[in-house]
Amino acid sequence: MANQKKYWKGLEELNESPAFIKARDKEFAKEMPIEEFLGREAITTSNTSRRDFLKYLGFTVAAASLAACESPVVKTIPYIIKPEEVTPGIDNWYASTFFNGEDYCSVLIKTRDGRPIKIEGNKNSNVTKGATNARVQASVLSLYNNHRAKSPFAHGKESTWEIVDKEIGDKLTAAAAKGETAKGNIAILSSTIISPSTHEVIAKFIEKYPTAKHVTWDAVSFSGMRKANEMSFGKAALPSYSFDKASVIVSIAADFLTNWLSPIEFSKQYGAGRKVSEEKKDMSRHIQLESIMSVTGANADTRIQIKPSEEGAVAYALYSAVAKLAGTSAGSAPSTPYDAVISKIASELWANKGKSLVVAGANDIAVQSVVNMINKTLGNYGSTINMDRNCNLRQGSDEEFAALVSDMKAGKVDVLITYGANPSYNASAALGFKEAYAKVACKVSFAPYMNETASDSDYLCPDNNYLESWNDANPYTGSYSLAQPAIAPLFCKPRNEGTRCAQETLLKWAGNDVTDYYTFIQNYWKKNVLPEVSDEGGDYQFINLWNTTLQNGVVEKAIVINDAAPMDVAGINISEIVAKLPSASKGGLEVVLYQKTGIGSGLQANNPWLQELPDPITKVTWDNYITMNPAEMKEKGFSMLEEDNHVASVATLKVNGSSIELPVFPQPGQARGTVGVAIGYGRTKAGKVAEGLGANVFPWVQWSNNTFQYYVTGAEIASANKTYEIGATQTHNTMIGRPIIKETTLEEWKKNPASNNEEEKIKTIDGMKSLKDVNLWDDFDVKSPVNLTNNADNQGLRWKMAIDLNSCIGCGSCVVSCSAENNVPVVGKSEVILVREMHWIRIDRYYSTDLTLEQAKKDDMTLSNQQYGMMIPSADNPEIAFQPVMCQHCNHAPCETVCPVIATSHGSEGINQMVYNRCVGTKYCANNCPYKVRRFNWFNYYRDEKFLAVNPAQESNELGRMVLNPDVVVRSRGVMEKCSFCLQRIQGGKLKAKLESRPVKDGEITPACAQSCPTNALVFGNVNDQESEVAKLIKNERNYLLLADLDTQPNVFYMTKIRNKDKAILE
Amino acid sequence: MNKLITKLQKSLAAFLAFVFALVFTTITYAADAPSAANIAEGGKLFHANCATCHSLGSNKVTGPGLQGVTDRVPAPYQDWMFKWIKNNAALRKSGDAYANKVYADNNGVAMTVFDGTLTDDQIKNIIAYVANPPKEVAQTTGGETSTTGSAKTESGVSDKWIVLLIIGVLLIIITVLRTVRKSLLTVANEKKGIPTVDMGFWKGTIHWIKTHKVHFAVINIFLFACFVTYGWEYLWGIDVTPGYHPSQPINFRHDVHAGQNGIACIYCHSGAEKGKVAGIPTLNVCMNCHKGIQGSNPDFQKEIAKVYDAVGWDPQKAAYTKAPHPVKWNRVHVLPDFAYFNHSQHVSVGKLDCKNCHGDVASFTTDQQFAPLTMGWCIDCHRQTPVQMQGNGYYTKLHEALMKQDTSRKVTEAEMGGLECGKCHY
Repeated sequence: MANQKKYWKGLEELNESPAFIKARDKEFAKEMPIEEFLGREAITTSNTSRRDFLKYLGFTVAAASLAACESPVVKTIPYIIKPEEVTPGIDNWYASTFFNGEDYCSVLIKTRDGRPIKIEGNKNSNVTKGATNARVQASVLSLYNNHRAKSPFAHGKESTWEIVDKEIGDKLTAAAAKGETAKGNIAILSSTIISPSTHEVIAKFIEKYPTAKHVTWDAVSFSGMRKANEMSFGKAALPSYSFDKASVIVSIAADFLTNWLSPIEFSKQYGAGRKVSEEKKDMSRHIQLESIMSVTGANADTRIQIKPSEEGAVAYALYSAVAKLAGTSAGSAPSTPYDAVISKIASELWANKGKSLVVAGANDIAVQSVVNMINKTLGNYGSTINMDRNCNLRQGSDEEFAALVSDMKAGKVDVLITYGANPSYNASAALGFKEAYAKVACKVSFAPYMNETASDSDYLCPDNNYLESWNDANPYTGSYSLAQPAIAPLFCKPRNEGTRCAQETLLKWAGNDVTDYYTFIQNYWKKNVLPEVSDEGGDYQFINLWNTTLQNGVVEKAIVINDAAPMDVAGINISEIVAKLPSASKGGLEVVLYQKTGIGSGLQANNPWLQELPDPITKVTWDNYITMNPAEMKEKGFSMLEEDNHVASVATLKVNGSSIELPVFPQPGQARGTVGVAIGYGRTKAGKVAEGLGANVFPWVQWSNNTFQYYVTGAEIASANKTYEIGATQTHNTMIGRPIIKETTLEEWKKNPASNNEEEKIKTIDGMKSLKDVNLWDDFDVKSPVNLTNNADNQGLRWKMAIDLNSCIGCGSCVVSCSAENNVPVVGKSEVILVREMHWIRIDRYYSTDLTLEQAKKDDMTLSNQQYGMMIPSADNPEIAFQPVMCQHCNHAPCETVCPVIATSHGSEGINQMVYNRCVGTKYCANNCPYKVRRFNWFNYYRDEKFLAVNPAQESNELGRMVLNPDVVVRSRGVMEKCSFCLQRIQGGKLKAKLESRPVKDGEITPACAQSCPTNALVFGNVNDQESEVAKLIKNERNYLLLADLDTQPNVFYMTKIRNKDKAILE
Repeated sequence: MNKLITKLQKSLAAFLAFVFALVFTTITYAADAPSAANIAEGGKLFHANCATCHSLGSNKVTGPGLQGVTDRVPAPYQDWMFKWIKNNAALRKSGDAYANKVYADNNGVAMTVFDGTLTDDQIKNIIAYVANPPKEVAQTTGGETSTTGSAKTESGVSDKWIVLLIIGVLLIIITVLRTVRKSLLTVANEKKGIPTVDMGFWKGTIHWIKTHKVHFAVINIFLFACFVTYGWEYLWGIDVTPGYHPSQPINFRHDVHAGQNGIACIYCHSGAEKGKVAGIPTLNVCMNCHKGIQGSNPDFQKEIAKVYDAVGWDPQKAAYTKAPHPVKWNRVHVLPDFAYFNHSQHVSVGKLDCKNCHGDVASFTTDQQFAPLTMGWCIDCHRQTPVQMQGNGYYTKLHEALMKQDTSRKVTEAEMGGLECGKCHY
């Protein structure tokens, strides 16, 4: 039964090492760094006596009190001429589009007094449907990145647009003069561009310089899949997926919830498919086969560890098993160690044919071809996969890129313009891009800042941030969206030479009549996107339509869906494809080059919000590292992070002659014989924040079968005999094995909706009693704010939040969203090590195992063997559950009763309020909080120079602090802070309702975490409103309170996690 | 005291000057027949009908400035101006040379024809007003107001002096009485034959303390109580600054705008109904009126010129010619960052009058802080003020329930949770 499961927060808790127990029982995990305060040189070397100190103290007190008598003169500067749409103190929202070359998201931008301060999902979008992820949430901070180039650069020096335009223009003309034979001597190398107008701009450019060509290449490529689809369906396109319609999802190493293809869209779909309710009794079953423990794998009902080199064999075995059930021939697949499991998966898929989905992460033509055939055999095209509605993301072609590099090597390229691509950093070493790049006569980069490629280039023509420019996007056939500037370019004349939108730069060089990109987009849309406008009086009609589209952010055009992808499965020569499948490695360690949830491929590496976001699985911040199966680590003698939970061993990882040194981190569930290293780190030219974080493993990307492979075989790992401190939030604030996450299986839940959620009873002198009966406190759940005698209930507002553990995928979108909304400071790695991270919401990750201590005792193991034996099987097959924890807003709050100055108190709407200006910093509340959600300001994070590099909201950083939310105060040193349920939004929402003379509508007030959740796992609302979603959820039998036995009566309630693993595949 | 007297003298002098000036102006222009009443009437009409296009100075607005107009038009100016104002188009058509010259000088921008809009008498009054622009009168009024202003501040200082004076007088009395007592005691002792020992002041005091321990204790307790009381009061008063009226880069007069001209607060502070801050009007709001109104006296003109300078307006050319620059006002009402205050909540929802918190702004020469802006002051109001439920859909359900229960019941803000920390601090 599930409730016998033992949860632990990390291996050190499972093993209960003495150091862990010692740390667990202490208030703070680390010793107080008194040395840090008193150990400064200036203090130890000064000869100030105690007497002097007292003198100074007296003087300071006197001076301070005198100074306090006079308030400073505060200046206030209104606009000279007020823009019509801006009223100080009122937000403006603009619909726009986030696309950074990888992730697409339709967004709403909140601007305050002209500054974008928050990003939210756009519910109008048919693609992302209002979902966001951590990267989108954090992108607003990248706008205020101090590292951005403030002017164009020529030959490493600041220059002006005039000079740059002239010099590059001359070189382009000279290159184009070589004539048609020199085709390709001008090249634009870009990451995926989904803007049709930008494609048109590039076409104009090529028209002017006929020898130019455009090469698209993605650092994390889907080239193999496009090629496979070309072979299968005759078009090199990616399909659209519907994870919500799939009853069975099988993913072979595709991390579709956080990284693969369109993760924001897919998490929304996945969340919808995983939700259960009275009306919807079924949920999808998810089987993941992978090497590293990805977020997607962590959410799977069944997870099977395979090596990356086995992906091809596994896919073929699965196809062969499915084909057997379908009665078609697929040849006989060579046996794999997983044959038994695969045949079970195949029958599961076959039973759900037409509503199943198989996806694979490999960038390999053969693997993807086999997957296409599996889906075709299962009849999934037209239901869960659609080849008529194509996905325009990841257009990169590995072959074209390789050809370009070899052209460059041969000296055939005179001018190379890189736009969105950063090959100096993220190109595979196999191609030798660096040497090739040096041979290009004129190297131009459109990077927004002096990144690795820009530093190697002759010219940097900095592009605007996406929040500063116009753009459009066409992520799917028929789906269009517009991006509009939410702020004027930050860097512009007269202070700087300024940045310029890349499209305008290209149009200028192309000598186009229209160089204004806004007009260009409008013209393009008039002709191609919104052509239904008739000719007579068309302008008026078009402007109307344009404005509507701009307001909605998106427009959907009808497309023809044939519901079937033409593929002749029988006609395909399977043996030809199979011959090209990657062969299983003969030996040696395999290294998976994966992407972390926050940093991804490193595009926003200089974003402190993303760096400080704990990885959902490892909970490590600010670093990349080698993930390794703990059992193997033990064999190799690496530190298991038990004694001191942040000191890791450093290992040397050697691949094809090159080696890196990185800390090793124990990762239960990592396939044996493999290690994982995240790409996106080791940036050398990304800015102060990203400097010196981790190592870059992009050069290890392999080139085989004309595609890039994101794993390496034949690696060696050896100890470097060093240690390294990593900032993990993993073992903080333990809850000591109490029933914190409750979970059940789908079958059990169908039988009994309250399964594994039985009411807890308290032992009293009169026997077992319900919590309600032994309560000493008054009931706080009032029905009306005003004392009403005529029993008129449900007048007041009573805020509660429901957290569906079944939907939470652990992606961390809420954490970043909360930081943005509530001005939560970034503290940096050294402070994270000291357990002083400031996030108001954390996502706890628990590993679980079915093996209990009792079982171990029955087997008569010694204590150490018991613990060790317990670890090994589960380390290979752990189940993972995520649990977001923020202030629980207890009605019987333990924090409130211990505050000596009443700085924290309870409001009539159920919110536990924290008054910073009243707090004197005794920290009693944090000590007494059973949920450990209170955060103490150890420093003036906004002023202390120690945080200059990491905290964006520094007083001296006039750019970074523009991101602050003016409705929330910036806390100063010595006060406690915590989740407020986004009180500013509640107050704002109520005020809006009052101004509009109507009651508060359900769903209009949403805290930042709930609003940004891609799976709607968090639901917030007023329970006194019987129609509200939260009022319905509170009656659900799945809901329970965290640590209910303490009778703190939180206003946050959780709903049991349900695993769809009834017919467990592994058994 | 002397200062006070000087000030009183000054205001008296100013008043006399005002009366004299009034009499003088009346006498000077008595020959032109129009009475002061005519001129006043003309002034009103001028501001209602002409001021949008004509200034009384030399500068051009839409039409030419009217300074010296009586001298430059064909004599007698009354007749010509009457015809021109009544129907300038007809006058031009009649072939009047000067009328056509004026028309041409102003780039053919025709003036409004007032025939039918204004009566003949009204036109005459306007001419009288233009001929006798109200310079001296306005100046005197301005002077007088500022005198009153400083006298007010002076009286604040004198309170302190009076207290000190009383203390001084009391000390003198004590000393005198003490000396008298001493002399009498000496005399009495001499009579009795007891030798007087003069211990000197300090020794005497110490002797007195030793012999009057209870008295001494009582005095000390009293002094200590005074110290604590005043100290406590003083500490509470730190950073509480009602009456704070910093000087401003432009001497904006609320008394003129909100008082004399009766402009509604919301016209300039338009954010008050909509959002968190009432907003300091941006210069384009000033220019809505001040394109035409350039000030009726040099003091005003000087200040309005600052507005023109900031916004880049050239009144001579009636065009925006220079690069604008912002005005850095000194903020009067400063709430600390940790207190959230929203104007619309109080103005639009709570239907409070601006005066409740900002005082009678219409009488302030420079804006000043009226309320103490302390938390106690906020809370007091929340305790007393009934919530404006009627007519607001937000409260419908609660209001109905309350009406069923007790129609006379008023629910205060405090009962609705208006005293909770989280309502203002987040």
